[in-house]
Amino acid sequence: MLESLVAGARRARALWRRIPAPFSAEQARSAEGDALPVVMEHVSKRLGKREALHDLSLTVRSGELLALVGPSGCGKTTAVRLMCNFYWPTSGMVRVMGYDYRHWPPWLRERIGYMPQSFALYPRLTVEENLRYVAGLYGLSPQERAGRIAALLDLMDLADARSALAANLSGGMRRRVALISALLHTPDLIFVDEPTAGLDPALRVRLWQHFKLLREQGCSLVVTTQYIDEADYCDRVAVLRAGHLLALGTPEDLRRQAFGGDVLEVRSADLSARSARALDSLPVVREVEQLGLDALRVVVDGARRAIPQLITELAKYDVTVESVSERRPSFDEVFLRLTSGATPSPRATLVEEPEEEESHAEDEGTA
Amino acid sequence: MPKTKELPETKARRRPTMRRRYRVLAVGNRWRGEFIRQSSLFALVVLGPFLLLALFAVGFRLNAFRPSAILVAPLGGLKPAEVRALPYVRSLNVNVDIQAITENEGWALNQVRQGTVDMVITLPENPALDLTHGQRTVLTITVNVVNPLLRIALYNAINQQIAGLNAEAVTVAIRGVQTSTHQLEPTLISLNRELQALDPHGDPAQNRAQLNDIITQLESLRATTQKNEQAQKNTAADIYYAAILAATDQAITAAKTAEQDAGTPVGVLELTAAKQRSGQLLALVQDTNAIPASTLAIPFEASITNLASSADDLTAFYGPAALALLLQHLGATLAALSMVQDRQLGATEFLAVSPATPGEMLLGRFLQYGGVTLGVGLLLTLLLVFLLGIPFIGSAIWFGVVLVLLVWASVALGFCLSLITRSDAQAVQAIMLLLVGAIFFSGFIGPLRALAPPARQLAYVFPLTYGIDALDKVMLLGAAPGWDNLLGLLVLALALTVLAAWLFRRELRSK
Repeated sequence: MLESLVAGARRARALWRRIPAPFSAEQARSAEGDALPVVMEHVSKRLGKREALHDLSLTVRSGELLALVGPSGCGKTTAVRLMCNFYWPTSGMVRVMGYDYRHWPPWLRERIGYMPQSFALYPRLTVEENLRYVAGLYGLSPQERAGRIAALLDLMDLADARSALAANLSGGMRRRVALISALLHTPDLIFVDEPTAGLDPALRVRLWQHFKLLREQGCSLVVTTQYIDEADYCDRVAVLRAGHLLALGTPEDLRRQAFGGDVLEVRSADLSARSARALDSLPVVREVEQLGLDALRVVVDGARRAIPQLITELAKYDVTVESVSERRPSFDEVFLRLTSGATPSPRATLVEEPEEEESHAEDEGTA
Repeated sequence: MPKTKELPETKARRRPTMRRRYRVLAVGNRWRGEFIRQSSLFALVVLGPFLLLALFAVGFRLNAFRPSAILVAPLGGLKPAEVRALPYVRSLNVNVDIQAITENEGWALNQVRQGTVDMVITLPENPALDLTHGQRTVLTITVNVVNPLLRIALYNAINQQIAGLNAEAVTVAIRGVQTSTHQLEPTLISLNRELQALDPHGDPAQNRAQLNDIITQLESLRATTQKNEQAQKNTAADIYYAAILAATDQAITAAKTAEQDAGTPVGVLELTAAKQRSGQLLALVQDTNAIPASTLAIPFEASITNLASSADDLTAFYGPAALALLLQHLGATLAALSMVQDRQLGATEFLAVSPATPGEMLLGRFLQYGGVTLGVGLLLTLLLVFLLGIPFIGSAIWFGVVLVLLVWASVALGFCLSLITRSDAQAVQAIMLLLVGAIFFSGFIGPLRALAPPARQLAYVFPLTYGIDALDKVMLLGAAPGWDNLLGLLVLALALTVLAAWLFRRELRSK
């Protein structure tokens, strides 16, 4: 399984290099100098009567894969729509490539790729016709379109589905075609909203490989997901809940933030409550939790420095340590830890943001 | 043994027919719930058609408008204003709006061909001469109309006008005679009393003197009657005056006979008197009989000519109108449903983020849907002309201009409808209302001028209103489409395009 995935990734990388760029990204990139792709400062957004996002501040760095994670209705889609300039903030500032949300130059949209959560293909068009339409919207010439579409279909393993009607595609194929739509014009900054929702695990892994590949090509990506474990694929993760930013950092940072340090698992047949209490009193130890009769989970300030101290301390109580291993808690655990300690405003907690309905809510609000 | 409590069996389970009924009701109730929560859809479905029908019922009056006309008449040195003041011209101006009076029949007919006026009324050289010769005065009326209902309305107006002229002529005649007889009546009563009082066995000299006095009064009465008759100069009145004069003559004759009988042999004198009376009566009757009774009762008639060659062919009339209706419907429907489809598919958000501007997207749609609709329009035209034999006697260039403007305005209207509705159901309903409204108020059913002002204003919202009139003129009458129609379509197309662009931009760039 792993081998096939690695092989697939290599093949994809080779194909990606063959894809011709429709215009000079380097040339365009120099226009805004070293400006960060996205800067959000104290951004709040009201949709109708409710506050979908509250005081959000974050940045997307150049060449970074940033994930926005959180349960359904936490404000991920709203945040992405703000970055794409589909929404304007109720308060705060959003800058993309150095341009604030009110003054986007026309070319800026050509530098952005966007795959909306509810992107739907035209069912009576073939895959290729759908892609040609999108490429046309981005101003690609017929020749450019042909090359890009063929290459991206190959990359996404959809070459055989090129002539298939969109109505006959599976959910996973549609997602991949939608992703191709966001990549046709070789964007520098890509926003992908819930790309893996409803997909099987193997396909999710493949999509994340594609995202990492894009990052390696120098793209900056913002990906939202409600599968918390997918945060591990990213450079940084922003955890959202009820419109509030709970945490922002690398996956490891967030693990440490959630647990207060490195997590070690100590195994011994001689463990006792007394020895556990002794460990808890050590300065490097933050937390000790009994996992069973022969195992302890110990949260420490620094694993390398703490392990000798733990072994020495346990020896004082005649405990022979069988193994001490550093444990990487799953991101589900990290998320639960982070969210259990969070205290968002009562109003925001009560509001469940219906992601699918956001556009309708906005429509009604502006009608 | 433990008691187990079984779940009660539902009634539906016992009765399968009930379960079927619940299933059917569930489907209906779901739809009803959705429908009730869409208040605007409810308004469109129920109130929309009702309001359109009510407005049409209130506003449509086929005979309510005054057709416009040019009067071609021998001016005989009179100025048009003086001719307009003549009694029979004043009468004409009641049901028909006489916009000009001229001797130039060619110019007048050209105006009716161009649709500037509804009809040309041509008077004969000498109407009085016709009557003297015992013939009706014939008004030659020329129209140029293909709309069958408009034709009926115009013919009705003409017939009403002629009937009005006739009724007025007869009324004037009878009123004059009645005035005259009212003047005569007291004298006749007095004379009758005097005659009754005469004793045949009385003094002959005294009787003769009294009879002489009666004869003098009768002759004076006859002279007055003749004077009235000459003053009135009304053919229809002649018959009445003739009868009065005849009666007067009889009375005079009888009086003279009686006078001569007094004291002389009766036979010879009475015969002389009878011959005299008979001769006078005969002359009067012959004069009266010389004019046909129908002419006296109906002195005016109309001879109507319709310049439109296809006037009697309903298919021909409805061909261009149906073509215009189909093009408006097709263009508006394609445009409206395309927007709805984008919204339903969720493509709007993608489009909004894409670099394509609302203007570019709208222009692309205009070209696409406009092109398809134009193509369908041309194909339909070929079928209408070559398969159904609908006349096409106008300019193909003008036809093309009208078609392009009509399709442009229709597609823009469709975009506007889809952008102000919130769901596909609403959009479909709006298109249906557009179709119904256009049929009622565009001149498709009845002439536009038969609509009362509130309904008339609504008509100008539909591209079809201008399209039907313009295509009628080009295809059936061989005329230009009319600058008012072209300007109307152009203004409508531009206004709707600007509105659609604004609405589309608002939808895509809603922040």
